[in-house]
Amino acid sequence: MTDLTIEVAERAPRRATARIWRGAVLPVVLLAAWAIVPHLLSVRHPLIVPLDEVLASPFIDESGREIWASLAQTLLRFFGGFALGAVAGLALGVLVGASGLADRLVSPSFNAVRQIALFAWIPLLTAWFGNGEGSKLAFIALSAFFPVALNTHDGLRTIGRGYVEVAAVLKLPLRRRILKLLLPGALPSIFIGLQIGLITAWLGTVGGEYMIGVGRGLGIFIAEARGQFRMDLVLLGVILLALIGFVVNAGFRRLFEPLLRWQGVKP
Amino acid sequence: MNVRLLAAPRASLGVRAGYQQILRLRPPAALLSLALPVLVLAVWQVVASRALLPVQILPPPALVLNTLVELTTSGEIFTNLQISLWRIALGIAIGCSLGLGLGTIMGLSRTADDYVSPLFRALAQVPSLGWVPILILIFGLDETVKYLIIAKACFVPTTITMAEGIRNIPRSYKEVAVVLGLSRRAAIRKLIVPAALPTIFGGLRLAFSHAWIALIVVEMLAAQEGVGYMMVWGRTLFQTDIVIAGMIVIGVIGLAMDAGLRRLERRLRRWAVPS
Amino acid sequence: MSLATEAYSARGLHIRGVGKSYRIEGSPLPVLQNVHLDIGPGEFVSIVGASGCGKSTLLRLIIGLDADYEGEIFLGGDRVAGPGRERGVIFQDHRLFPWLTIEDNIALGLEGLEATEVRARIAENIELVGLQGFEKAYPHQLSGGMAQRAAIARALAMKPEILVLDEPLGALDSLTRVRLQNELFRIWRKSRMTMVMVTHDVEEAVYLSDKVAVMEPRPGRIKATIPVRLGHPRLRASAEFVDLREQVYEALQY
Repeated sequence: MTDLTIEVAERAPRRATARIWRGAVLPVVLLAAWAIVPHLLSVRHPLIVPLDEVLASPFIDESGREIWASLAQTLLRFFGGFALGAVAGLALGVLVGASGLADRLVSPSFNAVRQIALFAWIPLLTAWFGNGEGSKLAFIALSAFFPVALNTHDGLRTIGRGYVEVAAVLKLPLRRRILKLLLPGALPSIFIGLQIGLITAWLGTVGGEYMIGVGRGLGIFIAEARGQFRMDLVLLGVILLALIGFVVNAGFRRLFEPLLRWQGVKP
Repeated sequence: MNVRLLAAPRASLGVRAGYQQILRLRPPAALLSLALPVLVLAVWQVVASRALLPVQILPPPALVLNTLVELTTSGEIFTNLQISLWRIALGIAIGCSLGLGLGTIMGLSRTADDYVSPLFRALAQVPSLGWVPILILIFGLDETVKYLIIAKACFVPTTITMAEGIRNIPRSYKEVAVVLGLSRRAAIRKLIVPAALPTIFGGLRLAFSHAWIALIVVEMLAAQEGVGYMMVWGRTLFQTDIVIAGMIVIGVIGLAMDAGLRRLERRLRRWAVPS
Repeated sequence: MSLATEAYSARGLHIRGVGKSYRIEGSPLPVLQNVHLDIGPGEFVSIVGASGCGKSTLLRLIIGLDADYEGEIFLGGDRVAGPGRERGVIFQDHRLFPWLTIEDNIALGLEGLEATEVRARIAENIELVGLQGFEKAYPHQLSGGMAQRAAIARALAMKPEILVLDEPLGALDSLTRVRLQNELFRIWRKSRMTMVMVTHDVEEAVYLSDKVAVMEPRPGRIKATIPVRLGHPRLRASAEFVDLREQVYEALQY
């Protein structure tokens, strides 16, 4: 079967460049159409906005320029809320992951509450904290909390039996056991939990803003743009939403994957 | 193995890192799992009965229960549920069938995958939430918007899983199909579909959960009926008991759907022997 | 006993000057070079060689899973390039579809045939390989040896002109392997099929074949072709057998 692997190797370089070219066709064509076609239309429908107008709006348009401040606010909220939720999630995850008793006490309830679709929490949160920062932060924290706690718990629970027995045989004290066995062993899962938590929290940030609709932020910017029938600003906001989500995800991976490799663990 | 070794690290409510607590006498799991909810309920009851917080913020549990019963008996929940389920069914039908189709194409043909994949992935980056304002601007607060959002929500995971499922079919089976000279139709019917079935099902389960979330979101934002709307309505009326009742209903339904699908998936896995 | 004079097919397989190389990072890596081999109709030919000598590559060219090569591979007068139903294949792993019954697996390649014909062929080949009673069973219910027999039935049901076997018994334990070698012989006799088998088991090659082609690696070519003019059934302990076996072993040294 060595033949097969050689076969793959031979094809690889030739295919890679072809793939890139082919992959670029559709996006380039569509973007070009988006940029050009609206200009060609004799009748301008308000919902058909050319690409260049969308991209220019944060610089040229009066309402468009507000996006910068809104974005800044959103990002602040995002990192703050995520930090809160992630820390809480890690704490709970470690607790239920490490202690069998805590696991049996808490996990059933945790899993039950987890079933409630995330956005369903918003009415309750706004009932408790009003339409201000409190609700938004709480929602973001909640969004991050669930995946982080879940994956931390899973990571700790599924450490290979072999390692656990070694720790027992060596009679490792509690602190060393946590530091040398549990945490490194659970690290890949924790990593995944944080990654999922990041993207969920980001969606929770903008989504929460959009739903609550009061204050300043990217979500609110989009909601207001929608209310004013400004398709160009809506598109701008959505593009930023997707873009930042991508950057955050990719950035996190780029930063932390090498760390895992250093530990000798596969992410 | 020396049994004493397992018993040795004594309980400080033990950090037992994955040990089975074989030797300790423990209360049955069912009882323990209820301990926390009971505690929370008790605290809730106390706080509410002492009126430490206004009813609008923390209605007593009895009131919530009462509301739940009322809504059920009046048929309100069922009507709303029916509408919601109908929406999600339609959305899933559209989204998943499109997803299965595109996923099949992308999985079978490397060339098609080359052309479509980058665009697909770029569009997939835009969350369902992002599509809501765009579609609302185009279609208004119409039913169409709801189906489309739900369809989009399940389209992406279905496509990805389907393509993956096909690509993961072992090469050895594909070679058999080539060597036996199977026609494309026969290959799809006798090889591709059965082999990819377990993965497809996992993908459908994922799509379901995405669709459910999208449904709630869309109903909270752009609907006049449905379980999502019910909560918003309760919130507007400052009737937090309705809100909480709605959350409970949503949680239960979500759980039931997922559990049901999981069971189906397990049954399927048993029948389709792994490759 | 003479070579099977009444072969199932009249066409033989002719491999002439076949070469193939891969490109690893720009420079070519020759895997096969100037391979010559003639397989007469009805013959049983084994190709032996150590791992990496290119015998699997050669087989894939014959089967047609790879159509890119220099030189000629002819089945009768037709050049082989790409798969074809006249060449049946038995792989090392049985590759029966787990979700189909044995009879459905056997019928897999019989698309386009009438139902009566399909049923006839299934019955005929089930009997040939000795799996009566297991038609409705599923592959996971069969032992390794039985599953491989089902794979043979699947290939033979298509009535190919030549059967190509890629280390067919390699995945089986040695006891089953010996039993299956006898089965294979019996099937070959009964079907009068031309068979080309790749194996790393020298004894198996000598036991079954009319001639043994020895390949040497880097680049892969046929070093020697050793005819096995022994009658059937063959005694593994007989002097002639041992002698031939040693001949092959010697040819394998390099």
